[in-house]
Amino acid sequence: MLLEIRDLWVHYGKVEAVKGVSMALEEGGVITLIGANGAGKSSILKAVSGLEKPSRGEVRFNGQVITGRPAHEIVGLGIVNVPEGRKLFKLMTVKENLRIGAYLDSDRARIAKGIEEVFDRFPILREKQNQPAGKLSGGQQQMVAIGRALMARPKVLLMDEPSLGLSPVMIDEIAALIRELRASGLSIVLVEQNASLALQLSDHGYVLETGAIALQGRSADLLTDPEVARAYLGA
Amino acid sequence: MSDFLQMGLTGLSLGLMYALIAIGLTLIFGVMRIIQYAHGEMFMLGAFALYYWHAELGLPYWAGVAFSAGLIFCLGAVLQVVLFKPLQGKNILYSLAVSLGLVLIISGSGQLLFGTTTKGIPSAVSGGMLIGGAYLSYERIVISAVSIGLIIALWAFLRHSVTGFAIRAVAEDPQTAALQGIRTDRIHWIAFGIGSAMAAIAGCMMGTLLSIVPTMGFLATIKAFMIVIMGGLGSVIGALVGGLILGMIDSVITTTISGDIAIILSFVVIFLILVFRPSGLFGQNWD
Ligand SMILES: Nc1ncnc2c1ncn2[C@@H]1O[C@H](COP(=O)(O)OP(=O)(O)OP(=O)(O)O)[C@@H](O)[C@H]1O
Ligand SMILES: [Mg+2]
Repeated sequence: MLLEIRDLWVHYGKVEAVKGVSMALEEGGVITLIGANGAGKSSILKAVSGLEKPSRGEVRFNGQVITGRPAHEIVGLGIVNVPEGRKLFKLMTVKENLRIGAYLDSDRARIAKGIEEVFDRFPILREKQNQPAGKLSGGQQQMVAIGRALMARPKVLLMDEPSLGLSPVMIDEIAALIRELRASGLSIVLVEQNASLALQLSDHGYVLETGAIALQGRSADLLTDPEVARAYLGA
Repeated sequence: MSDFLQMGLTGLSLGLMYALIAIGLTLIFGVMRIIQYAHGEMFMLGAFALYYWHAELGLPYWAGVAFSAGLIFCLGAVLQVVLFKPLQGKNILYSLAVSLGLVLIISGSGQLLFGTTTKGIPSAVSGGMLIGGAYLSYERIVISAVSIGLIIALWAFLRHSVTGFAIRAVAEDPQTAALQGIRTDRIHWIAFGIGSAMAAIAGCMMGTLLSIVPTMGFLATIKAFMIVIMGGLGSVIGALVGGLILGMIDSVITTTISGDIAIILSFVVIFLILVFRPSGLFGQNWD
């Protein structure tokens, strides 16, 4: 297993946000984590990324325990987080945002190449490279957020609700991009409230309810599961 | 005309000195969101470092400025790691209390160690030129040019160096900065050190152009706060412009009317700016 989460607990003071969650991601795979507002999805990603200290449980990467390591070290391992709500550095330019995604990289040529690759992937960003990131539309900001994460040359991408607040056209574009990234061999943990989209993009799904996994299985099966359909697919 | 030239140069050098202090303060606030009341004490210590180096020991002036900046950089960095870092993320009142305590400790020990008499630091540059009846001292011109150079260097550092990027990223969003691999704790002491060193260099200007006493930090802090609020919290450009405005008011009004009126007018200007731009001239909204 590339990434393994075992019996993870996250507390905020007395609030139990995550209660004994276990998940696994294979190399080259895409797993999704779906659930309602406040179910604990972001808390799980934050615990993996080192932004929150889990109160119990462990996270393993390539078999090695990485629980509780600081965020800047986790990025260095290749686990890169595209946070909920993009979280761009709004006062910095698009290009600066991309540059900072490669903060731990000291190879200038590779960094320049990485920026070019992002621009090739999202040509609109080349046009807007010198604008403050905060001035871009929601969809363009999501491109910058994903581009910034790709600059770190990730092995695992943790994506927290990439479709949030985007237009249907833009959602299609992000979905196509996720398929492309997966085809290129990247392993992805996709957190979504848009369950049907997430299940279509992934191999395996976990349904999170108030901090615990209520249901899990092959995404194709979950898509046709009547319970999932009723609760999450609006059927 | 000649008066204006002279007042202009005095205002410029004064304004740049204020700007250096305020840029340091705004950098520390921007990155750490703490209010460093003892910033003026860094200004004072920086001035006395150069005083002892150059006036007492007779060592070279410019090396003394570098020594002062380096020493106060280290002091700022150590204060951040030892005193402020443990309070990070806690109620802002804790760091406020610590920095106020530092004011008392540092200015008190300063009076004991350095004495309470006014001191001056001899010129590094002598002479001057007469332009249409105005006497412009080379000292003031050189010192102004050096501080402009420093401000540009800091600006370029923040704009173009990787560490500068990291400082700006941490100022905007420390969690997301950590997600890029930035060690926010390291950026904190670096920014605290740089901010303190800026104040120290301003202290060197103060000792050279005017005079120094161990209690001068308090007023410097107040001036710096006025400037930072006028320019916009966290904005380096705002601190520069605000410093120049205050320097010019101080110079022109003190010469033509009186020092008291200059102080009152400074407050009126700040008040008006805040009425029309509540977050300052170049202020961003810090959520
Ligand atoms: N910093 C925090 N302090 C206190 N409670 C928090 C904090 N962050 C999250 N919580 C609480 O933890 C629970 C899980 O939050 P989390 O953000 O992980 O949910 P989520 O599934 O990502 O929700 P959403 O779909 O709205 O993003 C919620 O009850 C939330 O109120
Ligand atoms: Mg969330």
